[in-house]
Amino acid sequence: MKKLERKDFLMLGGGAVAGGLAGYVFSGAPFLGLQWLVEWTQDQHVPAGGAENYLKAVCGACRTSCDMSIRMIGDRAVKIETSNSGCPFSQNALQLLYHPERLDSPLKRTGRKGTAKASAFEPVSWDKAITDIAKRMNKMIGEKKGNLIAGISKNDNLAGALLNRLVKASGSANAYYEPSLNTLAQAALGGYVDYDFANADFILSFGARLLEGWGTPCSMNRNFVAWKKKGAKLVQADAVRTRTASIADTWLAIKPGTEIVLALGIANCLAKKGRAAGGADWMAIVGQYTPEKAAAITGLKAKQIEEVADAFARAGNPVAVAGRGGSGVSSSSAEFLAVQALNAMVGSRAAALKKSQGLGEPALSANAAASIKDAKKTVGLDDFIKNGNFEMLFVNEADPAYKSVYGADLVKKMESAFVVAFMPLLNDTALYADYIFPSLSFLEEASAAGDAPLKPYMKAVHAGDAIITLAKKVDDLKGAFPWNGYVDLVKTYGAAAGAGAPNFNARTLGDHLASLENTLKASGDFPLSLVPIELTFVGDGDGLAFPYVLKTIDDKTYSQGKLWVQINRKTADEQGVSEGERIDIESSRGEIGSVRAHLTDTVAPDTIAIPLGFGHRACTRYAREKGVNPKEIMANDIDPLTGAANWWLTRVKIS
Amino acid sequence: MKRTVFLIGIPFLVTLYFGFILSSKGCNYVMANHPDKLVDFNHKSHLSKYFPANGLSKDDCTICHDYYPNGRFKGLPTVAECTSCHDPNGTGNDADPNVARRKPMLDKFKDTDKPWGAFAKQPGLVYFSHKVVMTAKYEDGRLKARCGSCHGDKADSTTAAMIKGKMLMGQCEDCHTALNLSNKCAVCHD
Repeated sequence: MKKLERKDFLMLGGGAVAGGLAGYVFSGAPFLGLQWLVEWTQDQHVPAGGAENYLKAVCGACRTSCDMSIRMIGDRAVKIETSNSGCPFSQNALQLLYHPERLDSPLKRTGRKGTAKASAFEPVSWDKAITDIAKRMNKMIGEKKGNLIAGISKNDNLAGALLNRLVKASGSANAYYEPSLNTLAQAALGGYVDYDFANADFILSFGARLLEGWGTPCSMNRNFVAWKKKGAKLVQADAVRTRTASIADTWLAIKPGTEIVLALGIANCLAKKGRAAGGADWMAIVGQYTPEKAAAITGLKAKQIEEVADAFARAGNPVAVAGRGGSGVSSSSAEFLAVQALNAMVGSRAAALKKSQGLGEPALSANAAASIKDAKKTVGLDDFIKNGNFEMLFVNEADPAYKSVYGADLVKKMESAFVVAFMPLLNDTALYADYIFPSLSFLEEASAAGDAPLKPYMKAVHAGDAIITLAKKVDDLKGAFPWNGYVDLVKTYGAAAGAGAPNFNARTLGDHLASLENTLKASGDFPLSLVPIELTFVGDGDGLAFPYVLKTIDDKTYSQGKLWVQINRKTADEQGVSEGERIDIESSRGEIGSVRAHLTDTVAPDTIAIPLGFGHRACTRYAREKGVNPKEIMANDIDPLTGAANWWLTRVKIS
Repeated sequence: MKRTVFLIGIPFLVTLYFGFILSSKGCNYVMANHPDKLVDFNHKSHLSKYFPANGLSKDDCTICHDYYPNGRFKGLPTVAECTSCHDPNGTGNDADPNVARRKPMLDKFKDTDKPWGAFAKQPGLVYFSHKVVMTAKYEDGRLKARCGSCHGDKADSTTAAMIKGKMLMGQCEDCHTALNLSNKCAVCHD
């Protein structure tokens, strides 16, 4: 046997190391380790151990009131399932409940406005903060300046109604909701439309992206399944082949912004069958929009319009749907009227007008009554931001600084005003708030359906309770708030009654059509149309605050720090734009930062479709500084009935 | 040359073997839920003897691993379900091949006990619905998933030893992709 030398030891060691490594690799251990690494990077919260338990509750996210099962591990909810598995609200509700940036106590601004840095705020007790605000309100109302108090709410819900009451009882008319499907319809028609989709058999949608966040998404998904089962027809008119358009039975690919003309063209066909709505002057305008004229404006064929009108008239229970968009809705009051007129012409049983009973008008104190006499009247939120004034502003979960086309004007006014915000997460508007109060998610709220499934997070309180507590500390408001808390009202609030027939005002229609004619006209300066699109979960902005939502964004919507817009392929060729190229979009209002172009055949010619919901300045680290906010350059003509800007169609150019 | 092959090859093979065994054991250890298995169980004998005799196929796992009326997965059976066949007052021999023997090892348990734990129980941050996955079908009516996809071939197992343990998210996602099930976060997490 030859003696082992140093070289032999090296070979033995090398073989052993190589063998060990090979065994380790073939066992799959390194790949397991890599998968762990991938999971670790997902920043997924791992709950502390505890007993598994399932809470039964009724979902209060919408009026559908689905049964809800909440899986608990110890005290922490880890998963929600509802009887409607297609509902994104409840499925993602824990994203808000345990959001890493959820506000956990009232904050008072100590730094300059316009920043979300923690150093700009200090935590403050509820009592101290409410007392300070009450003192300021007492002073303003005592000086008969209550008309300079304003309130903006996101939703037409109980907290919104209580804020409206607070503002009105102070002697101000400046109580507004952010424009939404219901608030726009109420302003235009005198009531919101209570659609009975479950029993409709022909659904004619004028740009309402029914399956992309429109209305109540969970019930819309359920309706869609029911439509397919029973063979109901969905006809979608839209300038973009959105998800709704692509799964509709018929997609009417119209030119952007011409939905109202299509409605009038269909009405014209119905009139020839002896159907009518509104007065003679209304029908006279309808008479002008023959299928041929409507076809020339919308880009459809006259025969298509006639066929749709015929099918609509022959259906057992047809319904026409207004409210272009998904979460963010923008339709003129004239368009709401024209579409509702179609329902009236065919006697639809699926589009009843209803009016919420609300809390009624508060009795005014002498100071408040004197104040409201001097109040400046504005019609809706955008009109108020543009033309109104305020010294004190309450913001209830709304984000008008981001969502309104007049956001920049509001920011300027908020810089010199006293602003109080109620919200669970700090949004773009709260960057200018002096006090921010943490409010609840629906999982922590009692509703008409039952008690709150979960306890409130940290020191968060229902905005309604905060408003009632505040009102009780203001001398002139005490009498208008006899309740001990919002729970006293949840069982009774929300009752609705019929709203009667709308006023089909021919002048409103005529004025809008004249204005639309100008907008549709291509000009050398701004030859293209800009229209919005939405990702269902991002919506018009609030959804981007949630980490899971980021995972639903495809790379042709947002990637590598850039927002993508969709441009018709032929139009892009004419404009010299290639796939992925950076472009700037400019309207008469200005320019937004560069975006990337995605060329597609699913967008109408001469049109750019731009996603809403991006370009936040705050709204958590997940949403901040991602892409651009197209509202900054979108059209800002204010509708005379809704007081909201009609931003859907904007003339632009690219460079 | 021969000496070189031996000097490198032998330690290579030895450490390859031990490296593979140790790493595999380590992987299995971290991927197992380390449940108590107080009673051994032979899937193979049940599936090969009693299932065919009662007109059942080896895919009829829900006979013992059933669902509650609300759709939640029961998981492991209770002792009462075992003793519904293995009569505690019955005989302990195979005198009648059509009658299951009494199992003395079950005597010490209550009817509601489940003397086994699952190897594959998912952590608290994951929600997994057996019902949804196991009832998903292709358009031609075939079931998309089989129990063995995640739990291994239990039909051939003769002990309560682990065949497959927990899964990492990537494996869940691969399966969802293959079966055309959604990989949206909220499907499994919240």
